[in-house]
Amino acid sequence: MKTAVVVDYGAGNVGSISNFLRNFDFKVKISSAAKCIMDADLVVLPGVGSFGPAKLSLDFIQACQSILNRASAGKPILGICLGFQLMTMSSQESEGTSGLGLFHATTRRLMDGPVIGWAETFPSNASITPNGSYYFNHSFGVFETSDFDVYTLSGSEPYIAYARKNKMVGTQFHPEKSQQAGIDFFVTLLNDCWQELK
Amino acid sequence: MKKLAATVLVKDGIVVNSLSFRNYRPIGSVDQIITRLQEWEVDEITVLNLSHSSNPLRDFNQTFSESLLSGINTPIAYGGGITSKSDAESIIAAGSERVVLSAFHWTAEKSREISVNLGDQAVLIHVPLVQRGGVFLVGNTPSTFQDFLAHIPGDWGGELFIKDQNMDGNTSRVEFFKRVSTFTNNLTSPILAGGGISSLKEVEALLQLPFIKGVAIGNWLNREELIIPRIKHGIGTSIRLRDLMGFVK
Repeated sequence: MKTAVVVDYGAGNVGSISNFLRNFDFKVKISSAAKCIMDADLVVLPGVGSFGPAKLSLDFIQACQSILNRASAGKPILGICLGFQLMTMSSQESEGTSGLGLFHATTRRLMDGPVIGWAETFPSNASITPNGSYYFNHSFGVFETSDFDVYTLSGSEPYIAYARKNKMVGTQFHPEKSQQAGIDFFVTLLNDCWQELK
Repeated sequence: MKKLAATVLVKDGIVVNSLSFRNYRPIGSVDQIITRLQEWEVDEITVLNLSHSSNPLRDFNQTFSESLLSGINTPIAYGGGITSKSDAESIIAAGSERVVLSAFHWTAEKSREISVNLGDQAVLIHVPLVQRGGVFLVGNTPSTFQDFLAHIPGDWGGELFIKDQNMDGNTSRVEFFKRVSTFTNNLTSPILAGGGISSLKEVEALLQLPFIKGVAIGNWLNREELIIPRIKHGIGTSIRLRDLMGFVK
């Protein structure tokens, strides 16, 4: 059975994402142990939370190096919402706290205010385009696109809704809470990006 | 895109309806109602547990069965006795996307405490308003809406769930929320409107107000069972309402 580790940094919606992954036949473990992070077929950095405390928590539980090692090994990582933002270099939400730096982009505050609800994504250079609308809940976003192999955008001040670099995927929306569109998106990821997890 | 939310009141483990949080009438099981709302593709479900104890996580786990949680892929905002950072974090970890906090117990200190790890956007504040002599009171307390808003930081990133608790028929819901907006102009927080909404006309008029980001339907769901799919799929609604909702799902 394929395994997924949902990294536990103390404030994420680990229950929702775990339930979502189980529906795709993953054996899910909520953990921050280095061996678990390295050995799992998929590692998920869940959403919901604040950048600074989440990164401090990742530092405290010594999960950062394991995640970086995993990324260097080219293994699948999914960051959702805050999890995606933690994969960038830094965030305006917590000035002075560095992110994991897996994506050469920064996170900054949405000028139009928080987005709490459903929003459409629009096609860009993505070979897989998550068409439709997804559930977003965020006040900060990632705007720079140059480091990504593929991405799609959303919002009136377009921020990245979905981005991918090698086997690393970030979504600003919550696939686990986006009903059928979220399920379809994940199936597409398995087909196009993570065939080894099918 | 604006959203259509459903409000579910839970008392003693079953879903009830009520008028101004009085005279409760049983409606059905939590599993059954929430599963149906999800099938109808409601955008978000706000669950308010009225018979909460001093242990919000235990209440949450008693409200949501494991099988229900494993099948929910609709965002849930849960409220009921959540007063601390640890309450909020445990409810989110258990399967809710957001926590609902009561305006009655709201302070700026609480805002900072609860949001420190979760972020503001994980918080929905439930604000029942009563109009008395041109003044908005928070519930039936002497506290005014302005007093409450004074505790909300200007850049706060959570959402306000404002409900018209009068529902006396003397003031239209649209007029009510227009008056509310005169106080909330400086806030960046989205506003979810609720309280006795019971016609397509009202939904349409409220969604046209730029500061309203969504409407929440409660008792209406129990009287007119298929109202969510009707609105979502534009059956018997105007083209304008369909445009406002952005029917893309």
